[in-house]
Amino acid sequence: MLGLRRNLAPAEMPKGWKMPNPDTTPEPGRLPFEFTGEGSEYFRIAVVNLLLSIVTLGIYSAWARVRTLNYFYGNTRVAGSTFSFLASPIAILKGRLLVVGVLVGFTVLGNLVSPWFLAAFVVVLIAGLPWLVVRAARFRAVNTAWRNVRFNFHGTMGGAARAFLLWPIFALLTLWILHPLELRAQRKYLVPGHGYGTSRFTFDSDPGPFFGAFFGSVGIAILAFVGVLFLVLVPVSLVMVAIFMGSGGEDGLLGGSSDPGPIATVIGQFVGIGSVAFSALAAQSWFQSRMFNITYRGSRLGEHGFEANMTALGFFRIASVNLVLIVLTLGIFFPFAQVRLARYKAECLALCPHGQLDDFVADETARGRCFRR
Amino acid sequence: MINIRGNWFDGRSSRQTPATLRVAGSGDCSLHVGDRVYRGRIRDWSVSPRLGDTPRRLTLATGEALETTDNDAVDRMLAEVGERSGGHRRHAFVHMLENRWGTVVLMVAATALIVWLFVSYGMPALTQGLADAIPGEFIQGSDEQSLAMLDGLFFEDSRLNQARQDDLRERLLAATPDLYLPVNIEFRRGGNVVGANALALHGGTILFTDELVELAGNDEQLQAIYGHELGHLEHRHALRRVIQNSLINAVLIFVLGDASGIPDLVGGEVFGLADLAWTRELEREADDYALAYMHERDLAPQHFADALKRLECSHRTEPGDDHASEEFLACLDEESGWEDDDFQWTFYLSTHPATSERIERFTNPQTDPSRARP
Repeated sequence: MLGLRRNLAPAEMPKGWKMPNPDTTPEPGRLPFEFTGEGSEYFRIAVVNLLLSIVTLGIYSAWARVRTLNYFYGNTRVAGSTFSFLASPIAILKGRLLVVGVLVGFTVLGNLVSPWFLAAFVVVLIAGLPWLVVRAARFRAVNTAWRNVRFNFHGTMGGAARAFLLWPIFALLTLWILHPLELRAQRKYLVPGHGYGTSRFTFDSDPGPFFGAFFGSVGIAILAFVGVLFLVLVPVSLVMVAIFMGSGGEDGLLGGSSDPGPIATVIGQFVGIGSVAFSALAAQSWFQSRMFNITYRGSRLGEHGFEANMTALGFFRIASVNLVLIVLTLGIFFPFAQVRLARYKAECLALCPHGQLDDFVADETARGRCFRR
Repeated sequence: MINIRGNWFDGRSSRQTPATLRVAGSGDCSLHVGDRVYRGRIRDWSVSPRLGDTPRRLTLATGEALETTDNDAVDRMLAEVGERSGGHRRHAFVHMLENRWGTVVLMVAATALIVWLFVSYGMPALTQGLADAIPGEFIQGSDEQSLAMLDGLFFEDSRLNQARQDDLRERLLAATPDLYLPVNIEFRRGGNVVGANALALHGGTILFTDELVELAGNDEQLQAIYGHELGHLEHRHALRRVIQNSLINAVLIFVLGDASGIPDLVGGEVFGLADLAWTRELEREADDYALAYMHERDLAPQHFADALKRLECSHRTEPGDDHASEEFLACLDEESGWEDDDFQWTFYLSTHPATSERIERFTNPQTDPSRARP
């Protein structure tokens, strides 16, 4: 309570004052997450972020990043409290300048002087990947707080190298058959690496669900594509053939051309892109919803668990409407889409406390070790 | 006196306690946590900027925080105690922009305008400036790797006999003006993907495909095409493209990066379409150069028109092995009959200006303003 004494002169401080007695009523068994943001509100924030970023030649984008994350954190509520993002925009700006500098340098050198620079860049990128993973995770965690207590990340570089370099290579060598184990290894590295205050997260999950998530999505992609092919592509082609060939040249339905080429090609492309997008979205919906559930259900924070019940159909409803509206509005809908998705994710998640949520103790090293300001 | 109700967090534990901060106009404040009261000065607190309706944090330097959803009370308090630091003014300005639909509509329009200006004027000027600043010695001969890559992707070794290659190379190099970097001429077989074509790489290499050499009616036509490629080289078009591609990534990541995510989706498309329009501009520039080049060397502009017509006809018909099929010859004889047919609509999505338009410039160079060039 040192800080209080220094900043606030206590009026009538009784000897050995302390915080009021903690509320000893037990927490209810299931505390749902809740997202209270509004698309129309976030849209205005996103537009201002975009314009100020452009006008300031990108300088503001670091502040924009902090504002965006804070909007989503500040509107995500569990057990009556919201999250906050405490990073300094200056730190983000420095990081971004570094990334852009390296990127421009290597591309210009690679394109103009010798492609070996590009090769060198890839090597540097791969070698630096574990460092990047650890640094990014720690930056994000240390600057995220709930109830004024920060999260933390303790993962090691060695662990990151195993999960994000060796496992992907290994999975590739097995022709991605073991890709589910790679996904599991990455969660087994990331989740227990995180802490909240002095408490640690743990992760426990069987390999089975990971295989179900991955191969289920592959199967759905194939089924959806074949289905679309027979239910949409074939009928559409037949109809087009009827229109262009059957109507006999000059009097064609779409105006005078006896050449079906250009228009048929355009329609064909739209239908083709649409069916590929549909299949991809269906597969993604299955994969994303499964992974969401596996990740949260397997995670524990100390004694507290999580409940996650996202469904593939629910995700598909949100994502497909988002996609269609984003395309139709040429991107204007994007901020609304982000809010819709955030709200849906929060709806699917709950905290299952086991005992008090008031007893987490801040990790005093979390802030001092890095990124103070 | 303004009361700000919220939750008090000591920063040492996750315990939350209802609390009220009472602030007087003088800047004195008192914090009421439970039945205890602490007094201090409001300037010792830092107040987080307003962001939509998310909770505000009033923090002490030692890490304790009061979190409140009463945003209006915090704003009133800041106004009352006369908080005028630069940071608060900036944040209040940003919130003012975000909070009014009128300014938001204006900002959407301004964003669209700026993006359009940048894509159509800023980017070309920027790449041109950078390309012009690069000395020829720095990039001459740097095509080796690009060429190796193209060889791997598209080309096979040339099947023209060596004497023909040497002869043509000698003839073209003899007819090469002084450029900012030396020219190197290569021959390759284009195959099904590339076919009859010529291209200029940024490091001074001009490449002809066998198919083009075979298609050309005579060497004057090849020299005319060479003039066009020299134009690409002298105006540093390939160099500009390389620079632009490097810049687009950087610009998108840095300026637009994660400002909102919109540009990730739309940005690529905007640049893609602008790129095509820009490419047509470059082709016109190279045509201008070819026209001046041919005039300087007393080469009839008709040769370029003929070469273009043969190219176009080879796309429209089956020219046959020795370019003598009836169909092909008929197409060549046709008096520009296909100039204004239904292929025009693809103009907006094509990289080159309409062929008929280009042919016209070389058939009647007197009517063309760029003829005035030396």
